[in-house]
Amino acid sequence: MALDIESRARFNLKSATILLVETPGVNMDILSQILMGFGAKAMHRCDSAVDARTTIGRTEMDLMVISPFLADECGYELVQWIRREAPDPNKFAPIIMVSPHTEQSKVARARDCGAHFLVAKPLTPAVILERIIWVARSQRPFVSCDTYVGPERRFKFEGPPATGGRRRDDLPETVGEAVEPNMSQDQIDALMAPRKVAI
Amino acid sequence: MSEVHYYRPKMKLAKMLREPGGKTVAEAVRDANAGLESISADCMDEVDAFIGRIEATFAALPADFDAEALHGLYKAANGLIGLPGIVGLSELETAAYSLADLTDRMIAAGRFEREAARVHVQALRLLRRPDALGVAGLGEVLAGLAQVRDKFRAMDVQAASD
Repeated sequence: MALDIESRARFNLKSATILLVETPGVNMDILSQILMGFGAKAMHRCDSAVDARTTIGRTEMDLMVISPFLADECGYELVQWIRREAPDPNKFAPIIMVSPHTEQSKVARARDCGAHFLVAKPLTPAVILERIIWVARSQRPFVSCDTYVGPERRFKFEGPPATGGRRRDDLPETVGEAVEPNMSQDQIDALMAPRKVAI
Repeated sequence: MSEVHYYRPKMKLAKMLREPGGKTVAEAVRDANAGLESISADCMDEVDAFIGRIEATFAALPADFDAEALHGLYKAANGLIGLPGIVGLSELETAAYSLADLTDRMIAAGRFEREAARVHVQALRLLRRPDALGVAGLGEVLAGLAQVRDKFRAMDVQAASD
């Protein structure tokens, strides 16, 4: 759901420590101006992956914004390193990637390296803010296996696959008549809600 | 088969966002836009610098396919993406994206079409001053670029199916 930019809802980024990894110059300024506008105070700006690794090693981050195009290393590899080797709790920090070219394979690469989101440039404050709030609220679980470490990638619920069933003995989609009467709300509450017992 | 672990690490950010004080969404977006406005002159200079860099990179490309050289052009085009949009040059933004997409496809296909790239590079200079082109002119330039890119894509698909 798109963020209502006229919303009076409040949020506070003042105490968050944020890492910005972007090419030096105006691209870095754009990111900084947007986050300063949101009220962020503690920002660490790194223009290379080497610099970012050092900073991540000594400072606890609450949010990281990373570009895939860095002078010394690909940003996707940096994210992969963060997810696998960065110290706790930085390896679990929310990561938003900001990318100029967002062709499908690049989007898939961002997802598979362990980023929470990929935002396409040109950046707009509304989109960045929407993603920050979304990442913070969604609290996606983390997955770790041989080939991937990062937030759960399947975060959309789209129902069961429309394959028409995979086995011969799959039950039909149509549901039969109820064989017992529905439970009343009181009966449901009695099962679900904890009650004090008076002795 | 590898073992898969699921866990729910605590994310401090969610709690921080709810702390008292802060800004409303409307205030934050307004302040961020004001911040971007304050660097628009720098943005414009950077746009010009990147157009120059793209032209120089293109001029230095060898006649035959060279993945590394093309990657230089792809990287320069990516450097431009994101800047014109900040200063209201949305057509230039579209053209920069189109150039990045085209060069990316050329690298993937292992084929260099100099004319297709040249048309894009020249269009950047034209779209830098949109007022001189007028609305109809802007539309024509963008339609031309889309046509060039689609033609390369179609040739690429054809080559892959042969």
